[in-house]
Amino acid sequence: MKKFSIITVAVAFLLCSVILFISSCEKDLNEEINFDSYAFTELDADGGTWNPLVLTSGDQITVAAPPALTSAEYLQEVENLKETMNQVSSEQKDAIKYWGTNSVLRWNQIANDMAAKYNLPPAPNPDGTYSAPDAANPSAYPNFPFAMPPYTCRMLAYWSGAQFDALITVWNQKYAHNCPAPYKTDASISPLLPENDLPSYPSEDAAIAAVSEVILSAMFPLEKDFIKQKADELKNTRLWAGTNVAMDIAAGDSIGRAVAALYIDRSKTDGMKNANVSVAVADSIENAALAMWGWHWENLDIPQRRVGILPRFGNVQLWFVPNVEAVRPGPPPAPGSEQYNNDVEELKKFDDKLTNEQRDIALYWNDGSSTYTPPGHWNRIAYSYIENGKLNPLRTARVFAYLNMAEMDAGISCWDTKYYYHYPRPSGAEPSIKTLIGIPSFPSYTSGHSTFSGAAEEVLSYFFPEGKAAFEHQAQDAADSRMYARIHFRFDCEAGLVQGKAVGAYAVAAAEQDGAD
Amino acid sequence: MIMRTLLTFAVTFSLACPSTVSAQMPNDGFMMKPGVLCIDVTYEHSRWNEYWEGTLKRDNENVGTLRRHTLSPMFNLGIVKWLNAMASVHYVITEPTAGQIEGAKGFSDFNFWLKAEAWRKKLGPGTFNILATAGLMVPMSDYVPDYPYAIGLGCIEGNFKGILQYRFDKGFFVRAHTGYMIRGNSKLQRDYYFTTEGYYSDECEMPNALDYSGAVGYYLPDKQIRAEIIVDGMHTFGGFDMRRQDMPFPSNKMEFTRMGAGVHYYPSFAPGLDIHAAGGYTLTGRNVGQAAVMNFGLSYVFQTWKREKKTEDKPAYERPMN
Repeated sequence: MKKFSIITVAVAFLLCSVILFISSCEKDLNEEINFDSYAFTELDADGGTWNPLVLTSGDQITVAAPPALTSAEYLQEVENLKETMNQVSSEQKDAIKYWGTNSVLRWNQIANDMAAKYNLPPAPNPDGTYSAPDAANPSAYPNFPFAMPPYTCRMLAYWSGAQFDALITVWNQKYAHNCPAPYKTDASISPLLPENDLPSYPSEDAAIAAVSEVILSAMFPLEKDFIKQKADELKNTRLWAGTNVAMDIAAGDSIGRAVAALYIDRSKTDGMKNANVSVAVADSIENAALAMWGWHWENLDIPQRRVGILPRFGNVQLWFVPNVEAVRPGPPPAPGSEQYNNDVEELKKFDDKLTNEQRDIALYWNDGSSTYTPPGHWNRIAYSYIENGKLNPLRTARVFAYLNMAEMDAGISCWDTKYYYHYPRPSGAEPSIKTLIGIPSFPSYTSGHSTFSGAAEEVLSYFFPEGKAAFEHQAQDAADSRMYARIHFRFDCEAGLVQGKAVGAYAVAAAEQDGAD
Repeated sequence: MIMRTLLTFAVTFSLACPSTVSAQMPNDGFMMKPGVLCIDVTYEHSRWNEYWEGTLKRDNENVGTLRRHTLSPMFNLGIVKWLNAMASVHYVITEPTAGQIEGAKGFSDFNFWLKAEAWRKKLGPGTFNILATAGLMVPMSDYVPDYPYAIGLGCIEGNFKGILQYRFDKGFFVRAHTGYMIRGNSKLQRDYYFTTEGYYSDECEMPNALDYSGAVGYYLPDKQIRAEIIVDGMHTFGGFDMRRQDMPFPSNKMEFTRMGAGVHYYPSFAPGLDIHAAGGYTLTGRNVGQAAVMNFGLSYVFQTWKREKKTEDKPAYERPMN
């Protein structure tokens, strides 16, 4: 009987340990990033004089002068604010914390999540054809948009460019009217967000919310209601937190809408609507490449996608690069050439044996369907640098504007190169090569990941010199990841990095001249 | 990036529910006597060419047929009359017949179970018994759980099962089991993923799951055949559906029901040897493949230490028996 009880105790002990062990593994996950609220390092009082990107100047759009601080109208707004603050619920306090002091970061995360949500390729129709999303009928399958990298880089470029121009305008008007924050004019108000000396009229957050609402709703029409709810919430948090009165919000909102409208105008005529083509046009592009180079790319999916992703995206209007030829590399090595054979051999070695580290790099940088794509990944990389530097929203918007416009230029340049050379994928040229991830549906040369990453490395190194070595390492990993996954040749990736850095240099040259540094 | 037109779900049930029928499994109603060790090696082959993307049944020409081979060495040791300990490892190979994405291979998970006979009573024309198992599953290699042809779920799992069996003295038996699986987070090789919203994390929370089975069979210790037919299934609590043309993900909602049968042969010329085979077919499912599964295995049962009472002179082997 003694033996029996020892075993019983041992079994009970083991069971308890197992339960404890598993519950310790089940830790809570960060669904969203926590952006801490902080006081800004610099206020950039001259920000209203910086050069905007689509607007001609920071005072192109103006708002009416606010009422005097002693006027009945202003005092009434302050009284209303105090009443609102008295009734702030714990839910509203959570919203204040969620948006924090720098709402540009939160919107960036929201935009990235929407890109991930819409980044799914259309499924084949029963007859083996594929339908393209239709902007005029976004809820029909396949839903509009399909947020693959060209779509996502363009979405981010318009959205962050408009934010930057709107905030230059807001800063211009803030210092033109010099209306202090309500907590400066009424000592009884203690704000729920860090104080600063920025004039509060117009509200920067209202402009950020309005720009985001207009641009993101145009880019993701099915999310219109969700986006509006987010924008309204952000504007309200500024009242709940006691940092702005209602007129600040209204003025900021009007600036945001006016600037966003100019960006929407540009987007309508930038060539994106012609970027997708018919099967006949796709075939003619392919045949032209075959006649010129002696090779051509073919989609390898079954059933075959007869049209690659956005064959004419290379014709879309650039931001900083004068023309695609300025950064288009020379032709890739011909199949059968010595360099080609060497690079094929390298891929076959990766096909035979990949270290776990190489595999993990390939998967970490996959950034494929249901993710925010490489441009979104590079936006995310910038978050911690922005937070560590305690950048104000204007400076933050500047980083994202140059980063994302450079990413769009990188996408346009890379897509021009891809369809100009129409080079086959490794598995297309050498069917024995198997891959670790899905093969993207566009030509191989140059690598999109490498081009996006080269441009991002260049731009982020300008804004955050302390991160230069890290950005370089990350860009190299992003490029190498495509070889480890065997969806690109080495020459695709090397040329892509060079092309991306050249694109980034144009963006940096523009940033150096915008009056901010 | 992008255009992974593909893919599907390699991690199906072999994981959740080891084999349809084989030698002494955690969810059968049989116990090993003290000191009796059973060593088993089972090979399992499963394949499917259609799967459920959420609730939509579809094929995928970029996968073709997904084949999964699993080799599972296992042991089961009788510790005392009411307690057995079992462990197994799985070496898994997955291979699609179409598309460019390669399959995966490697050791997936280590499993350990304790199985206890909690209660037994002679009742009418047979014997009624209740068993309980507690198990632990731990990934034993650095495999990729969100790979389209993954070999495992990549999480630690604790599982608890209850088994009821009634066996007639003449050999027929009926059995039912249900189990609950508590799963820890699965570790990914990336730090962002989208389920129904974006997650900025390199871990995903795995839904817990329930499994169940019902079986009828025939077994007598002095006969050379044991056979049973079984219906089993699983479903997760929570998890999300694959969206149209999306890839599978470890924390997908997963459900299936399956019908199967198995047979053991104990050749009289080789005492202690058990040759067994089983098969099954998935009837309904959600975010899993509609798989046909076959397995084949060999067990050898032998006495490792003598029982305390030396009154009986038993042979060196004993059949699994309740």
